[in-house]
Amino acid sequence: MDFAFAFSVIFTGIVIVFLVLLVLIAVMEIMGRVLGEKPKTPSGGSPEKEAPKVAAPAAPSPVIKKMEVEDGIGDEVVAVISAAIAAFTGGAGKPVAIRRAKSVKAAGGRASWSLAGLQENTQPF
Amino acid sequence: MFEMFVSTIKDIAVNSGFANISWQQAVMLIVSCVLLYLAIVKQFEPLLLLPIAFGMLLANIPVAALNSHSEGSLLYYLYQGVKLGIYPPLIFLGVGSMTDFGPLIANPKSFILGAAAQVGIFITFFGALALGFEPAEAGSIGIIGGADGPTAIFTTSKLAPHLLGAIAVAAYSYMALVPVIQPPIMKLLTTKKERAVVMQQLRPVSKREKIIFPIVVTIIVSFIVPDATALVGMLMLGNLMRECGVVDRLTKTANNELMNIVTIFLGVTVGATATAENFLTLQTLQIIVLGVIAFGFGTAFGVIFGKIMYIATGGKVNPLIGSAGVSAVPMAARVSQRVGQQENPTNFLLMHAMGPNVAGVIGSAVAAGVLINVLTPYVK
Repeated sequence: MDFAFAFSVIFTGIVIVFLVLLVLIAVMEIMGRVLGEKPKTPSGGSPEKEAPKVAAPAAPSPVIKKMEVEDGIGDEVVAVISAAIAAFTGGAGKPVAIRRAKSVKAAGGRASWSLAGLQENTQPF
Repeated sequence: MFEMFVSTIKDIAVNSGFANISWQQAVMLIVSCVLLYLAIVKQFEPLLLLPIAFGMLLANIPVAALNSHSEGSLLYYLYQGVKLGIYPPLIFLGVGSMTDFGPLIANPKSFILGAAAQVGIFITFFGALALGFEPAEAGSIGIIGGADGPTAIFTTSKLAPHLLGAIAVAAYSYMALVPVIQPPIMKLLTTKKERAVVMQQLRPVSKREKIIFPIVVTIIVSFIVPDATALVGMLMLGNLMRECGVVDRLTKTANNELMNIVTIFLGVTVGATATAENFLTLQTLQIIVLGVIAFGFGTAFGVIFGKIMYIATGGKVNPLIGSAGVSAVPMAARVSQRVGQQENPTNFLLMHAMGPNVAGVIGSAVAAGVLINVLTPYVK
């Protein structure tokens, strides 16, 4: 066996694999700094400056109007709808209140899911 | 009339498989049935092992000569997709369209672990040379340690096509055995305290980063290792299609219909290269042994580099995520998660391990590019 050849292939291979991936690390780090999502602070200032020195008296909790739920829609369904809306809005930004949950009449004789499917398949044409 | 009937029956009997089967073909039929059993009952990578095993069965049916090398047969034409290096990049297109590189973008240091796990490829290359394999064959055997089927097939089709059957079977069998092979090595190389490390949550990754990532990776990798462009380029094209969100229909095709069609063609034709004279050799046994060594070293080096990162970061990195640097997505990451939870049931390493895991896919494609570049002059 030609040891010199074997070691030169092994050395070259390992060095190039590490080199490529180290270059990628550097580029990804730079990209993360330039384009990465920064943690949000309430008004842009540093958290230390924002922190109140004395605890503020607890604000009276706002009166939350009870959600209107149509008969026949169970608690689990309401929870699933709420979770879907939370996921859709990303859970960030303004808080969302769900005031009412009621079933929608099928438009044009088609169920909503069927309409959504139809739209997805025909939209590009 | 009766004479004609007798002579026809006689001809059929003489030309039948029963009269022409060799003991080697019989053994290969048994091997293919065992592989079918593993795919169907034990569910060892069934999506690929099943077509591979059936291709093997077809290739060893006496008289029919339905193997990938018999010119004019169906499998011969389908095999051109392997021979010309078409199928593996198409599979990478589908893999890219299913992969979330978010954990890697959030923690780019994972690339180190993806690179470390490729060391097994080069150690096995040395082992194969020591056993008397030609350099190009040794490179193809070493790439089994990348734990990436399409990469192994792509490299072997370029460097040592006559070993395709044995290397594909070894690569896919060991990928299915990742949950068996890796945990003992991971436990041997780490302490209880290290395995119990809880890692900090990864930062959220913006959509813009996810879109730019595949473009940047393609340019950088292809500029440095042009031979890896076919694999990395298609992997990243699939990922860009997924992340940009404007070509949903193409993404669905890439990761469903196209990937499934190519998987069938690739599996059957690679299996059909394993004829008795090609497969029932001492070389196949050596490849199977070298394959497990490649996997073992890949895992070990990933964990060792994980330990180095554990020390360098003052105990913030759990070394178990290093073993996920061998590609085998997402199985290797799941193994890191499972072994970590054995020490600390509230620990969730899965997303942290996905970083090195997808980095391993890029790393093994780069290693394949290097081997193809260096060893092509030695192809016989």
